[in-house]
Amino acid sequence: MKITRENYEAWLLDYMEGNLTEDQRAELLIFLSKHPDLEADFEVEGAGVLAPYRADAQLPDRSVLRVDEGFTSQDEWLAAVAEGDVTGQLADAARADAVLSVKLAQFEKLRLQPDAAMSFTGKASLRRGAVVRPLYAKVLRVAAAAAVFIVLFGGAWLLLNQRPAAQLAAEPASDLRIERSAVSNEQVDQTYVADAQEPKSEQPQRVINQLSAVASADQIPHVRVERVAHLQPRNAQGFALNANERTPSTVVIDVPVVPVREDFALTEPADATVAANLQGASPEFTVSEFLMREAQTRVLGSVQTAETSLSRAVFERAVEKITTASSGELAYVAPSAAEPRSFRLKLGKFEIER
Amino acid sequence: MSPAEYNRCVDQFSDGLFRFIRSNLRDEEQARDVVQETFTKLWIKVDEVAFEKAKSYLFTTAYRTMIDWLRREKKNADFETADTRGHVAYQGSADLNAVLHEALARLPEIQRTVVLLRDYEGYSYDEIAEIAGLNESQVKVYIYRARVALKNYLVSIDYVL
Repeated sequence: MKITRENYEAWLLDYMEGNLTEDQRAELLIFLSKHPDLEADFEVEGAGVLAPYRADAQLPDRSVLRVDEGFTSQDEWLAAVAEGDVTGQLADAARADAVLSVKLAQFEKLRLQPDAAMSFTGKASLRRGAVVRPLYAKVLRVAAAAAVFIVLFGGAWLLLNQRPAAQLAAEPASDLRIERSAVSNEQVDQTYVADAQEPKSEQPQRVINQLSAVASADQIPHVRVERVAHLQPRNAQGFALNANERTPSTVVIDVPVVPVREDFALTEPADATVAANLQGASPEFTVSEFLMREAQTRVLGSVQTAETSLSRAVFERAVEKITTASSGELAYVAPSAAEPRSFRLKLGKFEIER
Repeated sequence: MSPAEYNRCVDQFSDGLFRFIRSNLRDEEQARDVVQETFTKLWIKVDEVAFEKAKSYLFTTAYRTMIDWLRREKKNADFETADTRGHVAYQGSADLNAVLHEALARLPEIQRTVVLLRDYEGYSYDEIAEIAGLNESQVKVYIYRARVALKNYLVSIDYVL
C-alpha cells in the first residue's frame, strides 16, 4: 500500500508498534522527507519510541529538513542522509533503525580520498615570471667556463687569435646584441614529451598548449598563435613544426623551428645543409644556427669572419621576420635519448636589444 | 590578481586540479595538458579574475576543457550512461579507497565529476553546480546516484564495508 497524505498516520502507528518491514520503514521516512509539513506528526508520535537519546536535542532550522529531491529509491534517500542533506528526527530515525543504520554506515564510508602522491610535476612551467634558462644554457655554461680558462691560462694564445673577434667588433654588432634570457629547457622538457607514434590529430593541441604556455610564461608579446602545426620528421637529426592545412586554423607559434644539432661546434664550418640554408632554402634553420653561433661568439669572442658576415645577413632578415618587438624565440624538437620512440620539444628565448 | 597571486594559485591548486582531471580522464598526459591549458587561460585573464575566485575559475575551466577534449575524442559516447563493463574480480587485499576509485571509473562522467569535486575538494552543492553547469538539485541527484552505484559496486564484489 502506497503511503499518501490520507493514510500516513496509519503508517506512523505501525512504525511505532514495530509492524513495518525495513523497506516500509524506509519508505515512511522518505515520504516524510518529501513532506516536511507532516514531519511534526512523526516527531510527536514517534518521540517516545525513537528519540529518548535526543530528548533534549534542538531540532535544526526547519528549512534544513526540507529535501525536495525526488528520491527514487531507499538507497538514494540513505545517501542523502549520509551526505547530511536529511537531518533531524528523520536522520535520527534512520540511525536508530537496526537495519537502516547498517546501510547508512555503508554510505558514510563512501568517501573518496585523493592520492596525495599524485601531483602535477610541471609546476615550474605553469608559473609566470619564472626564470627560464636558455636553449643551450649548458653549452653556454661550458663555453663560459672555457673562456675563463682561456683568459687565465691561455691569454697569449688567445691574443694571437683575436683577428676574427676584432673583425666582429668592427661590424655593427652593437645594434643587434643578443642576450640569453633565462629559459629552462629542463622545465620545458617536463611538461611535454610526445610519442612519435602519437596520432597526428592529437599533436597540434599538445604543441599549442606547450608553446602557448611557455610563450605566455615569458610574456612574449609578439608570439602569435595563428594556426595548428604538426610535428613531422624533418631529417635524421630531428623534427620540425609544419603547418597542417587540414586542421582548422586556430593556432601556430610564430617562431623558427630547427632540427637538433648536438654536434654543433664553435669553429665548425657550415656543412652542406647549413650552407644550403644560408642561401635561403630554409631561413628558420639558419636563423637558429646563427643565434646559437652568435651567442657563443658573445661568450668566446671568436668566430669565423666569413660565416659571421654571411650569418648576420640571415640573422637580420630573420629578426625582421620573427619580431617587431624586442625578443625572439627558438623552438626545436629533439629525439629523446631515454625514450627511443619519443621526442621532446625544447624552447629557448633570446632577447634582442637594438 | 597579481602575478604573485597567480603563482600562488599554481602552488595551491595545480595538484588538486591535476588529481581531479586525472581521476576523470585516467590519462596522465592528457590531464597534464588540460591543467596546462587551464592555467594558460587563467593567465590570459589574470587581470579579470580575483584571487579569491581563482580556484573556482580553474576548476570550471578545467572541467570545460576536459569535456571539450572528451567530445573531440568522442570518448564520451556514454556521457550520461553508466559503465556496464563487468566487474574486475576483487582481490581482497585492496583497500577501500582503491576499490572506490575502481568503482568511480565506472560511473558516468558527470557523476564522477560531482563526486570528485565533493570528496576531493569539499565543494558545496552550489559551487559544484557552478563548475559543472548544473543546478543544485541536479548535483544532489547525481551525487546520490553515484553513491548508490559506488555502494552497489562494493557490495557486488563482496567488499566488506
